[in-house]
Amino acid sequence: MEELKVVQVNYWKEIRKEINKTMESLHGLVLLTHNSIEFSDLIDFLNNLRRNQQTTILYISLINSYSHIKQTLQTHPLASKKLYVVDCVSGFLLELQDTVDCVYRRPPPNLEEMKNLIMKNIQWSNPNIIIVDSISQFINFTVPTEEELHNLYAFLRSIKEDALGITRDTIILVYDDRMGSMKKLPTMFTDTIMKLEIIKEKPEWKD
Amino acid sequence: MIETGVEIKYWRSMHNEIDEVLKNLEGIILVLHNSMEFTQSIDFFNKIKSNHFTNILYISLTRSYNYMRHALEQKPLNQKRILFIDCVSGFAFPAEENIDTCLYHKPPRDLQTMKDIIHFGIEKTNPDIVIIDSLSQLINFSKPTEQELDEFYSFLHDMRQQMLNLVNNTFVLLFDTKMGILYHLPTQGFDTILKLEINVPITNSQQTNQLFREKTPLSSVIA
Repeated sequence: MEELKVVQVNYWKEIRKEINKTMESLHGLVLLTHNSIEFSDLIDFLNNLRRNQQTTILYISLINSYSHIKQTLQTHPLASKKLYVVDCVSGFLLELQDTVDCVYRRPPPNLEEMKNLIMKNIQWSNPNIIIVDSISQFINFTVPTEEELHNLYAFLRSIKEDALGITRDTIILVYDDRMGSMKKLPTMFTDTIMKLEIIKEKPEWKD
Repeated sequence: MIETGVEIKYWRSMHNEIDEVLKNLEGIILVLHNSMEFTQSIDFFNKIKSNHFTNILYISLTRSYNYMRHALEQKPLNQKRILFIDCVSGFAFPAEENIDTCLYHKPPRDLQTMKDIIHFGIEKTNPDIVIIDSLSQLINFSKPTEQELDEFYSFLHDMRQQMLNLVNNTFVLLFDTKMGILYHLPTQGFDTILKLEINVPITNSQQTNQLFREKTPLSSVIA
């Protein structure tokens, strides 16, 4: 009876029945993992968040350009939410002028710089919710090194202390788990860890 | 390929509250897992109603009683008495071979037979918890037919109406997700759906095997 030593058991609960309650009360530091969702799926998620409240969101994008975001919002509008964007995708490629609701910046090379980016941009946008999409650029939870975990925990603790406040009460860190199952869930310093599983059914071809 | 249907499932990590949730677990529960070993599932079972003594009826369609008894000798269940219905060795051991802690039965051919086995086990032991290991033997949620889904919902409905009561109040249905993506997970019939991700380290040899997997002759597989 040979058995490999278990590194960690992740327990997840399906929350279909309590989704409204969960989304209404979602506060603090939230890790949102997913299996390669589209930006439109993220909008659906955000629309469920505090449905009846006017909220301001600062979206720091390392994967979607502002152009793509704007285009998606035309077909998937964000209800009762004002969105400000830090575009770290186009800023790397082109010299673009900042607008009222978007600034172009170079992608941060590490989590420490990510924190600086957050702190600088909360001043002009004054958000209630900050979204970082995604932290998969900085850590792979399938095989994280000690150093990566140490840096992540330092980052989590630091943004919790410095970026969260009474009105700025939610930070959502998005993580794409397509690299593999998460062997180390960062339960320390995070208030909630959620997983969005998109199941896309493909049709069977018929002759 | 054109996508036809999209379903979003929301899951919340239970890391900080799992002990409390399992202590008070009741109803019909679906537990999805990624090929969890029996020894690994003992830790999970130990957390269910951990604050008092319970009787378990364990209907096994995947492992023999002999194997599970050996595993439990190494890793015991706390505060639990367990009666097995072994549907794996059922062909080899006729009903006359039944012993105090195990009854042998032929593997159920369908959900109706499964229901009969549960009824029989409940009458014998009056358990607090019924565990079925596993549903994967009876239905594949990746590509179920309409008829299979109807029969499954009917099975869950009958279980709730005819078996779930104040004493027999927890039914745990295990399902191994290795069969593929669960396109048709029947979420409506369950009180709670849990997912257990067992993470074991990938050894160097496994990594190498994944990269340079040897081809197995078909003849040896068939043999």
